Parts: sequence; structure tokens; C-alpha cells
Amino acid sequence: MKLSPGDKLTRFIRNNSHCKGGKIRPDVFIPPHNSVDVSVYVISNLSEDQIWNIAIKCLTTKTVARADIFVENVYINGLKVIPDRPPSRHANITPFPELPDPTCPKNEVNLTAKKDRRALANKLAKKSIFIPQPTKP
Amino acid sequence: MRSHISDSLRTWYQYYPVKDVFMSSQNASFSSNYDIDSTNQGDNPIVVDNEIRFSMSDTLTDLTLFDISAFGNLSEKVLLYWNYEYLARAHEAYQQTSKVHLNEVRREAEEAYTLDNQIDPIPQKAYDDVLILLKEVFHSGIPMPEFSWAEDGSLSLTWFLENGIATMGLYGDDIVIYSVFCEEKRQVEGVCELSDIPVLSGFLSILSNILRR
Repeated sequence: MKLSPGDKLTRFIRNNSHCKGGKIRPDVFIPPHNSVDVSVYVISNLSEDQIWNIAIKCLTTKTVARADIFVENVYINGLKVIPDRPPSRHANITPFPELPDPTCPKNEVNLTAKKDRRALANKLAKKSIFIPQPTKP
Repeated sequence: MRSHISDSLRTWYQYYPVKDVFMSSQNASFSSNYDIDSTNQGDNPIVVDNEIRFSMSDTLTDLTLFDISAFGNLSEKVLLYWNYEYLARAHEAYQQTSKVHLNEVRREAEEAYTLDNQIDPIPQKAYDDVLILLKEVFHSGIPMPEFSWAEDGSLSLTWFLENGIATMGLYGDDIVIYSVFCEEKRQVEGVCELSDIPVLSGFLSILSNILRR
């Protein structure tokens, strides 16, 4: 799966506080402390139904919305999109700065890494598009 | 002594109109024709009793809403105070509202943590630190932030700006990670101790200026 800057990714949002008021919070794009990856799905050329079906099939918890983002906006920030199958179309936005020593939170390297991770998350959130979960008829 | 209203003060003046500024060596006051009822809207602070008082070298920092030392014609550090009773009530209401929002975030984060063990739990200290930080936010006079949490065990305060986003992140380790990103590439970001009031005030002051544009 070779991705071009025009390809579209989505990060499924599972929590209301991450997209209250239709605004995507940067927290959506902050990985757990022991990870440098943010999990996304490649949704280029898929219909809305097909995209939401990915969430139904691949996620264990309910989804409330999506944050769609073009691959270009990932590349601009010095990050890559690495396919990570299965499941099909799954990929990771990576690498977020590593937290070298979580046991010393005030270590200067850790603080810089946390700041940089949050800065990247801010930039990705700002460039992403909020798509609410459609209500069932 | 009657002071002239400088350009920087005029900006403030437009936001919270006052009729005149009076100063002496020990204290000073603004008089205002603002009506308390008509100004009590949203999260913005209001002028009380048709007068805003401020005094020099006062140590009651709990009452401080604005540090107006930036106003060009005031050479000394001058702190602006609000009516004590109003401020105490406003602060209490602000804290209560914040706690309600934070509890919603806590419920959501804890539920997510029980369903996904990849997620880092948010320590109680992070919630406590948010309440401490909110005191500074309240006194800076900027609107209440929106609260959320992240999978790395942090809590965030977020303000959506016209062309950007401002956040303050807390992990419960007495550290605040703050940033403003605007469309025009203007960025302010940094890390400081929760107890570093000058740095936090400086950031909140920048944010306040951006929010008032």
C-alpha cells in the first residue's frame, strides 16, 4: 500500500470529550506514553458506509466520530504513515518522539519529548476534519 | 492625579469601558458607567459597583484579575482588584463548573481505561493540578477552557482560537506543558513548573490578548 500526499486517513474517535462541539481536540492524536504510533485507517476511495464499517469491524468500542486528515498534513510535520496490517487499511502515524525514561517524568529529555508530542498532536488536530457518526434512521 | 489613558489601556478600555482613571501615590481607581446586569454574560469578568479599584503593592493575590503592568503609562506594577464579594462568588461558581466538567472527563477516561489496557490511567494528582492551574486561569480573566484527556495519561485545557488552538497539558507531575498555534505560524510553547506563576501568567496574558482580538 503506497500512500501519496493526497490519500486520506481517519482516526476513529471513541470519546465525546475529544470532539465536543464538533472541534477535534489534540488529545485524539497523542499516543500512549510507551508508544510512538497513532493508529489510523486509510480511507481513500471508500464510501462513507464503507468507512464506518471499518470501525464496526475493527474496533472493540463504539465510535462517536472521526478525524479525517490528508497524508500530506502528516508528512509536513515530519511524520510517516506506515501500513500495519492486519486489519486491512490499518496504518500508524509514526514516529512520535519517544519518552526515554517514563520513571523520571521531570527529566529534561522527557519533558521535551512530551512537549514535542503535544505540538505534533496540535498540528494534526488543527488540520483534521471532524466527521460525526451518522445517526441511524 | 488624573492619568491619561494610554494606547494599551485603551484596548482594555474598549473591552471594559471606564469613564475615567484616577491615581494617587498609593491607590487608583477607574469609574465606569457599566451596568452590572448588562455585563454579566458568559465567562467574561464584569465591572462591579460602577468602579474598579486597584492598589499598589497589595498582597491579596487571590483577588487579582489582571496584571496591568503592561499598560504603558503605569511604571509600577499595578494589580487590578474586583469587588471582593463578587469575585469570591464568581470564583466559587467557576470552580464548581470546572469540577463538573472535570468529573465528566474523569468518567470517560476511566471507562476508556477499563476497556483498553494500552491507555495510560490519569493520576488523581493530574486532576488536582488542573484545579490549581484553573485558579490562575480564572484570575487571568480568560474564558473557561474545554477539558479533555489523552491516552498518555494527561489532562488538557484547550481554547479554540479564531485561527488556531491553545492548550495546557498536565500529567500530575507538577509540570505544565503549554502552547499556542495560530494559522499565521505564530507559536508560543514551553514547559514550566505548576508553581512558576510568572511564566504561567505570561502565557495566559498572551492567550488573553489573542482571545480579545
